[in-house]
Amino acid sequence: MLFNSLIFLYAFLPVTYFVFWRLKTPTQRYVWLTLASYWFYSFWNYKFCALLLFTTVVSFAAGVALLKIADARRRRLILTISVASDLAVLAFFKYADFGLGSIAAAGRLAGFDFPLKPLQIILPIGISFYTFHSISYIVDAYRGTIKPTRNFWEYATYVSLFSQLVAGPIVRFRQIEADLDRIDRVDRREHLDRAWSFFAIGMIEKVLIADTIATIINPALTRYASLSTLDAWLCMIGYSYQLYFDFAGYSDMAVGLGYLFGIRIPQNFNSPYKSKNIAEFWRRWHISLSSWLRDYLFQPLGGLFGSKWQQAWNLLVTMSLGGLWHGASWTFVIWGVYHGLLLAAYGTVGRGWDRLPVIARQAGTFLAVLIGWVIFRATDLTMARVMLEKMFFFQPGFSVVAAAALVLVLGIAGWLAHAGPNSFELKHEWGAGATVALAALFALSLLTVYGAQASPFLYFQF
Amino acid sequence: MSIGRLLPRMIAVLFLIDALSRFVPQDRLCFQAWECVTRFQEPGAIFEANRQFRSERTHGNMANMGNVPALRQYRPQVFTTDAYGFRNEPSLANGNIDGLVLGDSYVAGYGNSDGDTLPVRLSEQTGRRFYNAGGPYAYLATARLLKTKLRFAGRRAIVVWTENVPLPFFEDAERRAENPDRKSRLLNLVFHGHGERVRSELRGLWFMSPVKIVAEKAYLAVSNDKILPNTYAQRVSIRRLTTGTPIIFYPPDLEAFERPGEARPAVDHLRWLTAELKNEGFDPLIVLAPSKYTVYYPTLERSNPENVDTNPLLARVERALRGAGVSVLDLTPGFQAQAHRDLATGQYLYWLDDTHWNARGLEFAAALIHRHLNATSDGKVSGHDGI
Repeated sequence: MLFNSLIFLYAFLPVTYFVFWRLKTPTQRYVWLTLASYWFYSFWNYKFCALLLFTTVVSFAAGVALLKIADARRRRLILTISVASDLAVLAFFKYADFGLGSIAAAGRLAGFDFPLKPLQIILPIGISFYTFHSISYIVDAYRGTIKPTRNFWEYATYVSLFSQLVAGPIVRFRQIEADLDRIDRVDRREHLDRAWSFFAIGMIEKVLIADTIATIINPALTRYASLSTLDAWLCMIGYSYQLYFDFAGYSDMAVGLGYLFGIRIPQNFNSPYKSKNIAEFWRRWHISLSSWLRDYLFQPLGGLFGSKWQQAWNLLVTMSLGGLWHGASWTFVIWGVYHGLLLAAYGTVGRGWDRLPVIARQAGTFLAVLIGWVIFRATDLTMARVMLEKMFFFQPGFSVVAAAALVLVLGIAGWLAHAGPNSFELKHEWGAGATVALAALFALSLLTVYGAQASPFLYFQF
Repeated sequence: MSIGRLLPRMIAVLFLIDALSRFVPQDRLCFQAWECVTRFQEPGAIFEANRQFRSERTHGNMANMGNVPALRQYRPQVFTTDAYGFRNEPSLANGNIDGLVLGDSYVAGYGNSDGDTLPVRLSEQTGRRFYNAGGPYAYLATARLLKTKLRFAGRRAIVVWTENVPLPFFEDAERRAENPDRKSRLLNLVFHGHGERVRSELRGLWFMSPVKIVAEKAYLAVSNDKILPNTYAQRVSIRRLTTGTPIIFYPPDLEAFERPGEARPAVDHLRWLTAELKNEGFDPLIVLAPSKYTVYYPTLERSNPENVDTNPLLARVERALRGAGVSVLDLTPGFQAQAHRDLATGQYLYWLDDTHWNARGLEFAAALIHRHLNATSDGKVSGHDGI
């Protein structure tokens, strides 16, 4: 079920909302939110609710055990078993076929013919997100950063909360623990305006900006081999904004939905295209993932301690695995390596870069990110190579259909991304004119949802 | 009013408009009768019972699917159904019926007016009363149902088997008609045997939203390759005849033409169907109907004569059935020859903007069937060599 679907807006959300506010005790509300979230998840494939439950039970049990056990060796054992269990589930469902395919391909290159056939495993939607939720909870419990909850339903609510279940943000338990604890004392009207404002902005970003761009560039990208240089640049600039407004839109809708139930979900995008260097970009883009990678992977590897080479190695490993997190494909790994190299390079020559004019640094950072999106968007390495050739070796012509509309939308998107405020910088206190304008754009989004073909969020596939 | 109060109210109002508008007749919103008359299906049929749809301006399914308004062929259409949910003059169900014509949308007369359907044309040409049983894929179940509901004077059953409709459609439909699924059984229990009707009503209300239709039309209008790309165009294949006239095809028909399947599954199913119809007391004739692409491929610009299968699927099916003693007629050779002859006069057997036969095609099909019936009743054998 999509947030931008009629079944969500007309049935799921009203039922979940009204029942939630009828209930009084925290546990009643946890149970209801958990059940509603499993209902939400079952719209995709009810069979995989069992997998979500398994991950929840394992990490909850690990948390309770860590609460009770003080012995360092036994705590480490609990940490290892529970994190390994989560990672095993993720590895099997997301990477088994990729691993088998890669081994078979490597074997063919070496002259061996391994009889490895893909297992045709269905990738459970949202598995990358709820697995990372669980791991952060166990590790934080082990480190003593959080006090694990003894209330199973509170924990189940945290893992399965529908607003963040299938495409994040990857919220840490400590970030919403306080809100979960006072879930029975929150005033329904307290965040109502903020909630709907976030939701409407997210919907507009997704439906009117991201989907419109996608409608224009996707047909062109399917015939990428015939694109000209101008086409290729337009498509990739379009994709840069599409991806941003798709995911930022989803995140804003998630934040709005969280507010509707008294839960403050943290910011996931902080105007990343305003970044002046690549390190800043990663502090602004998909913040919940980049901070997760920093805290649970980069720092345990050694972080910025050690020699320059050691730091660069840590960055490279972290970003490669971060790339792989996005999908079981070599394009994502290469995209991760690319960003790892950029970060390492910035660590080395950053001082020189920082002396450039602001506009040059912003433009340069955006260009570097955009080149990364070429690899990220490519369905395979051939497409990435061809697109980069098209962009950097002049080929005449122009063939993008409806280019005028694309340029108009890119103009709006570009202004919002590079110069406009992001949703967390807004006060969400609208005057009459702004309220009418926002409502009109929201209505247009709803009618587009009615009229256009359903368009899933890009991050659902990760 | 604050945004937190306004937006939920807007959603609620739109929901109410959507919900209430579903109870209002929607004939003016349909581009084709088929959309409207299949909304509340009579159990055992696919049309609403005792329904009449009239429009001066309908067009073809391919022009709609591919969003190509420039290629629409506008035509008036009257679509009338009887008390059993089949496309017949209501009085026909009361009289003595000489035979049934079973089949899918080709038989039901998709895109054509009442007076042009295959059973009507066949009745005119033969002087017999043929009942239009077209629509449901469960041919045997339909024949059984109508046998109990209609008064039969004759026992002829003509089954029009359309090329490229996947066999599982037919098998599933027969299975479902024989054994209602769990939902139907439950609804029958709750609604005292009227479960199918309730399900049909609910389905009709659920799936057809006037707000959605209007919004889709608006979105299609801006998907014109100027404001937005027409992404719907990839759902159809637009080619040109050697005369330069554009003609729209359904892409799966092209795939099936280029990679024809095995004849055996269709032959087995049709042999089974023939035997079952005979057990029910019918005298079946299997009519094999080619796809539009099969008929027009030889007359297309840049078509390669080497790609024309010298042993096409329907010919193989016909031979196998005839070898098994099944009465069968393949319309392909006759249609291909006629389509080729028609090029010079700019006439067609199919709508250019639709996958189905037009009035001329229906009349031509009826003439071929009539000729076959006459020939076989004289003891002659017709088929590829006879046309």
